[in-house]
Formats: sequence, structure tokens, C-alpha cells
Amino acid sequence: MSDYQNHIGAQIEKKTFVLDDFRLENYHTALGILNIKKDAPIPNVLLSSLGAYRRCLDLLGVDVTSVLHSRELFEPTSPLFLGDKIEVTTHIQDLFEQQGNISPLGIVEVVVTLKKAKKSVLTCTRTYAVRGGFARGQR
Amino acid sequence: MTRLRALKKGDFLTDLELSPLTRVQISRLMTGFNDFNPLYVDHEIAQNAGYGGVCAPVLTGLGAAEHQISQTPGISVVSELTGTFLKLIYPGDRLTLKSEVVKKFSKNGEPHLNIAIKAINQNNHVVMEGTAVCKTCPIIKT
Repeated sequence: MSDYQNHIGAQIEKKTFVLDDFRLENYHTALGILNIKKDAPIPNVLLSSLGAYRRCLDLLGVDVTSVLHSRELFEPTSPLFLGDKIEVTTHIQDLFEQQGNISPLGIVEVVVTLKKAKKSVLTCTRTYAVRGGFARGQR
Repeated sequence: MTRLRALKKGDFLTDLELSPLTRVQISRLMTGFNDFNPLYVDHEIAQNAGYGGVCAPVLTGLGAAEHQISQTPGISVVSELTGTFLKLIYPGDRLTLKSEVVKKFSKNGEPHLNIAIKAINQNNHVVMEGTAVCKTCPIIKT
């Protein structure tokens, strides 16, 4: 097992949020979405961003400019709305290296779980590819 | 716009065309996504990293896809959504979301759809491919 793989399974952050409309408004405006009802469910793409992804990359010592966001998976079980109080947990699910077309790629899988009233309502899995692999991608 | 329950395999949702992406929009997306990567704002850092210039968060395409699906009348719940990011998105890019029903099935008595999603830029390059599984039951606020 390589050194970086010691971080597999590490919980990076556990935080509680009340969903407010600041981010939602910026998000909708940026996408040109103007006809949004306040009582509509919050988009999963926005909810997934509550995870502590940057802290995962920092823990691994990876230079953020060498990182490509390659895949995103959302598995919601219940919609969330403005004003909901949620607990957000971020952990590193997997770390490995694979050979890319030109150079190695370090693969980082981060899982973010959102709970409302202790019940899981959304799981997000984000995959990053680190150009050059973990050794070269590190600061 | 087509009602979701009436959709069948091979049908396309109404295309969603975004206006050309500005740097101000990119700043707003950074706030929305809580992603303050310098590649989105610092031209020199982006160039040195080999990107040719500042780019936009790749989640932009997936966010637009989720909006396209959720705006389809009759749809209520996106029960799974996935996106694979194939090309970077740059300021000035004009994205079009094209989504096709690839399967219709019933699960626990509720109609479901599998939808294949593509975000295409103005040069007809696919910047993101994904899939969504959608239900048509009513939204229940708990």
C-alpha cells in the first residue's frame, strides 16, 4: 500500500448547515434560470457542493491546478428545500493510480453524505483525476 | 413541452440552450459550487497549468442538465444523476443540453425513465455525458 492510500476512509469534515438562498440565487442566476419557485427542491448539483472537497485535496497535498473533475454521481432519496437543517459528512472513499494516455493519473473518490433528521437524503460521489499521479501532482 | 408520463423510448426532452458563458457567471457558479479554484479566475495560473486560459466549473453542464430534466412537466424526482466530464468549458462557450429517453420502466408501481444526457458546445463537441433516472410521483416535502 502506498503512503497516500493511508487516507482511504478518512472522514474529512462533518458539518451542519441550514440551507439558505444565497448560493441558490447565485447558481440560478449564473445558469440563466429565472423562473424558480422558492418551494422547489434544491438542485442536487448544488447540494453536492456542500462537501469539503478542497480539504480532501489539501490533505493529499495535491496541487489543485493539476486536478481534473472527471465524474459526479448523485443518489438522492428525498428532496431538500430552503430552510432544511442538514448534516454533511465528507470522506475519502478511494485513492489509486492508473496509467493515462500520456502520464499516470491519481484517482480520488470523495463521498459526501447529506442527512436530515439523521436520515440519509443524498449521497454524492465525486471523482477527481490528478494529472501526473499523486507523486507529481503533490505540492 | 412534453409531459413526462407521455414520454417513451427515443423521445427527446426540449433542448435547453444556455447563453454564452460570461466570467461574471463563472464567478457566480464558483460561489454556488463553493469551488474557488484559481483556474476559473486567474488567466496566468490557468495558462501555466496548460489549460490555455480560465475555464468554468465542469458542473455547469450537469447543473443545466438537472434543470432541464426537472423543468419537464410531470417529472418530480431525479433518483439518480451522473455526469462524466469530457472537455473543459470556457468563457464564451454556448452549451446546449440534449437529453433522450433511453428506457421507460416501472419500479414499485411507479413509472421511471432512464435519460441519456449530453452537453454540447457551440463547436458540436460533447463536453459532458451523463444519465439520469427519474420518477414521476409527486414531490413530498417532509
